[in-house]
Amino acid sequence: MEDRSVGRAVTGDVARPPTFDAFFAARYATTVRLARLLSGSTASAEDLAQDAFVRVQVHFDEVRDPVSYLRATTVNVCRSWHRSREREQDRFRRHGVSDVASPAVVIDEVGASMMRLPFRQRAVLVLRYWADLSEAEIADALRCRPGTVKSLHHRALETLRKETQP
Amino acid sequence: MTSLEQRIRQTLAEMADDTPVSAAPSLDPLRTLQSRVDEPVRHNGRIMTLAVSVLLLAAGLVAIVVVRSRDESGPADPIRGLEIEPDVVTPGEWVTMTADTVWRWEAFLDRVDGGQRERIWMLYPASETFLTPQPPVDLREQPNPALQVSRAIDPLSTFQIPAGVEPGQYQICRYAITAGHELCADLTVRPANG
Repeated sequence: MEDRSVGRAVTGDVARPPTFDAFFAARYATTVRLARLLSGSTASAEDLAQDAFVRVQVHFDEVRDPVSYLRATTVNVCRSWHRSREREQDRFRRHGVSDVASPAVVIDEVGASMMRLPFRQRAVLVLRYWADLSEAEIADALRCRPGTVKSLHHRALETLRKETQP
Repeated sequence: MTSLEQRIRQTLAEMADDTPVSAAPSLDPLRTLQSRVDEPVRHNGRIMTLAVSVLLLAAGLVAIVVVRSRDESGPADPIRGLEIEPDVVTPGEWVTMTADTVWRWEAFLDRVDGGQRERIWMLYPASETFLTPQPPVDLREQPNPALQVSRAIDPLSTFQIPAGVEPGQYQICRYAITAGHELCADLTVRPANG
């Protein structure tokens, strides 16, 4: 589960990390795990997390809630990675190579089904059930309306129910 | 919470726990890069951002049209900006590259011939076979420890030009995170006995 004890500056319940170094050290592992769950790729998770930190570092002194900002940035970075990976797969297919992506390492049938979901549906499940975020917080991370989150959540559960239950 | 939701929660927790996480890397390379950014540029950043955004929007619309039209004929020309040493090699030699950017770990070798570009080899992660023209392709997500290639947030890395590469004109390309696109450098491969 995501460690939410660090840097909730927006509510003031925990002090904002004084430096980017402290923030980076405190949030690095959690961000790698979030990137892995969103991308499905163990090998790319650290690169994606570092990519997100590079972007957050530029605005670190300006943002009120660096944890939320980092989370939204990580989602964005993973979404971009997902899109470019799909384009890359298309290019490889045009060269007659059927599947060059390493398969995602999944735990079970539910994990496998989640990896097949469209990115935003998977992201909603990860943010809801792993990060324990509210609908409003998920909407903030995905830059969409709470109603959209509700709809994505419903569709994701429906798909998983059909695929995993007899 | 339904049983399905409990299974989702449990699966995600197990996948997260199963994720290997190395120690947080040093931030020094990132700072080195950022220290090269002039202060006045930072102060005028907002105005510049607005102006650049408008220009990018217009350029983006043009780019979409261009990219779509080129999609059938091959990838668009990448941007040069990578520095490599040496730039004339024989198969099996090592090339060291540097750039003022932060990049992803993949690096590709593209054959450049008569204005056409063909991506033939993934230098890192190390691939045992050519990407094209024939499968099988081995793109295991396994770092090659012999190469000792740095990960993101490291501007320096070294690659070995595979022994099977034919002599000719090539480019080495990497996706630069801080630039947002691939950077490439020209490379000439000579015959081993030439």
